Amino acid sequence: MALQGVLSRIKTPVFGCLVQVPRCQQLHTTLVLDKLKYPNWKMVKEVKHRKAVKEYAFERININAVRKAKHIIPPEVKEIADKEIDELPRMSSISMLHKRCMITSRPRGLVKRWRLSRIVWRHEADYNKLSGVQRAMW
Amino acid sequence: MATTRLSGSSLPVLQRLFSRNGILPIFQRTFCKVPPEDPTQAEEAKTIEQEKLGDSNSTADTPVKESGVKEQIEAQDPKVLSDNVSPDSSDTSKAEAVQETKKPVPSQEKKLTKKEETQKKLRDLLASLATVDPLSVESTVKLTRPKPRPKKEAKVKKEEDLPPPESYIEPELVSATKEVAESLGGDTAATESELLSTLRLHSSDAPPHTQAAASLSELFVGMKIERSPNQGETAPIQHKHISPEADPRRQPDANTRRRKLSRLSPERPIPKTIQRVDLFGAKPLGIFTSKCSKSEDVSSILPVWEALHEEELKRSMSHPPDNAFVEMMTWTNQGKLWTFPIDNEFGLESEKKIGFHEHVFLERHLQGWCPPLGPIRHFMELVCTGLSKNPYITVERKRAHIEWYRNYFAEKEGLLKEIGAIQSSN
Repeated sequence: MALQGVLSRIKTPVFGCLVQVPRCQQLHTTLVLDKLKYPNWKMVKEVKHRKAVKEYAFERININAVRKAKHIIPPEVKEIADKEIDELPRMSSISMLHKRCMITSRPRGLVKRWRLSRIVWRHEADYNKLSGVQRAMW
Repeated sequence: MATTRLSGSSLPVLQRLFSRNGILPIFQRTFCKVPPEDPTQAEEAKTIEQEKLGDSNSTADTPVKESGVKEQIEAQDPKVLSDNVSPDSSDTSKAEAVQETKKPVPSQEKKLTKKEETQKKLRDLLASLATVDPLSVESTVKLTRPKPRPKKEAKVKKEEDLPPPESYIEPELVSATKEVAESLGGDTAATESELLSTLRLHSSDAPPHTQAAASLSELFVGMKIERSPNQGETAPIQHKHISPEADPRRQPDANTRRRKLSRLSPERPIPKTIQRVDLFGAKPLGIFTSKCSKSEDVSSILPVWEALHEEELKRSMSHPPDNAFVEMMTWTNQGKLWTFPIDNEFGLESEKKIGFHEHVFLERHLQGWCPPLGPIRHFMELVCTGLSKNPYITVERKRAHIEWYRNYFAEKEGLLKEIGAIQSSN
C-alpha cells in the first residue's frame, strides 16, 4: 500500500514550470546531488541566487535604465517600470547577493579578486598557490 | 657445518675432542703456552705425541700442524700421559722411534746427543707431516645426510635382476598355511585356499610389475568406485586448463596408479568432470551493445543511493590521470583551466572579424520605429551612445537591447500617446 503511494506520479513545480515527477523525487533528494559539491547549504542557496540573477539580468538592466533616466522619460512610464521591476523575483536582484568564500563559504573577510576568505587566502599564499602574491616585507 | 674453515689452533683441540681414544675433559685442556718443566717431560710428551699421532694415523687421517703447542698441552695432562701410552702403532718407523725413546733417562753427556736425536725426530716428524694426508673433518664429524629414499624404478630393475622365483610353493609354507587356517578358525579350507593363492601369486614365474598390476586390479574388484552423476551428460567441454592429472589421454603410470588409490581415499578427492560453462545463464552485461536502455525503477526508495552507485561505477570505469600534466590537459578540455598564454578575449575569436562600425554606429537600428523627436528618441540615443562605448559585449547583444526597448515602448504606445510623448499626428 505504501509502495503504491510512492509509485504515483504527481505534477510538481520545478523551476517555474510544471513537470511530471515521481513522488520520490519530490523529496528533492535527486536535486541534492548537484549541490553536494558545495561546502555549505548557505552556499547552495547563494548559487541558486546567482543563477536567478543571471536569468533576469538583461530584463532588469533595461528596466532600471528606464527608471534611472530622470528628466528624459515621463514619470508615468517610470512608475510602470517600478512596478514591473517589483514583480520580478527578489532572488534576481544583484544587491541581494552576498558573496562567500568559494572554499569555506565564509560570508565575511573576503579577498575580492580571488573570491576567498582571508584565512584561506593566507593559507594558499603561504603555499605559493596564488600567482604574484608574496609576503610583505619592507 | 661440513665445510668450515678451522684455524690452526683449533685443529688440535678438535682432534683431541673427536679422537677415537676418547673425549678429554675440558678442564684439562689448556691453551696457554707453558714451557715444560723438565726436558725429560718434554721428551715424554713428544713420545706420547708421536704415539698418539701413530694411533690417529692408524685410525683416521689426521692433520698434523705445528706440534710445539701440542707437546705443551700434552705435558700438562697427567691422564694423557697415562692413557695414551699404547703399544699399537702400525707405523713401524715411528714405533721404532718410540721404542728408542722409551729407554731410561741417560746421563748428561748423552743428553746433547739425545737433544740432537730429538731434533732429528722432530725433523722427521715434520717431514712426515707434509706427506701425511690432511684430516677430513667430515669423516670424523657426524653430519646429517638425506635419507636414502626408495626408488621404484630401481626397485623394479632389482626385481628383474633377481632370479625368477620357484613356481611351486614349498611344503613348509603349505603346512604353515594349514596351521594358520586352523588357528584362525571358521572355514579353514577357504582360508587355506586364499592363503595359498596369494602365495602362488607372489611366487609365480611372471615378471613382477605385471604381477603388481594384477594384484592392484584384483584389489579394485572388491572396492566401490566413485561415479559422479553428471558423467553421462558431457556438454561441449571448454578446455581451459586440464591438469596432467585429469588428462584422460594420459598413459597409466606408477604415479597415476598411486593417484587412483588416493582418489578412493577421502583425503584427496580429485574431480572427474570438467565444469560446464553456461553462457546464457545470467543476464547480459551489455558492454558491447549500443542499446543503453536505462531502466528507471520508479519503485526505488533510495534515489540518492542509486545515483551515487552509478557515479561510483563511472569512476571505476574511468581511469584517473597518469600525472599532473594529463590532469591539467583534461581540465583545459573541459574548460575549467585557462589556456596559456592567457588571452583576455578567449571565446571571442569571432569578434575580431567584426569591425568597429557595427559596434559604434547603432542609430541605424532606430530607423523605422523610433520617433524622430521626443523623449523616447532622446532616451534611445543615450542608450546607443552607451552601448557604442561598451567594448565588452557582442553586437548581437547590443541589437537585442535595442529590440527590447522597441518592444517595451510598443506595449506602452497607448499610454505614451495619452501623455503626449509620441505625436500621434505623424
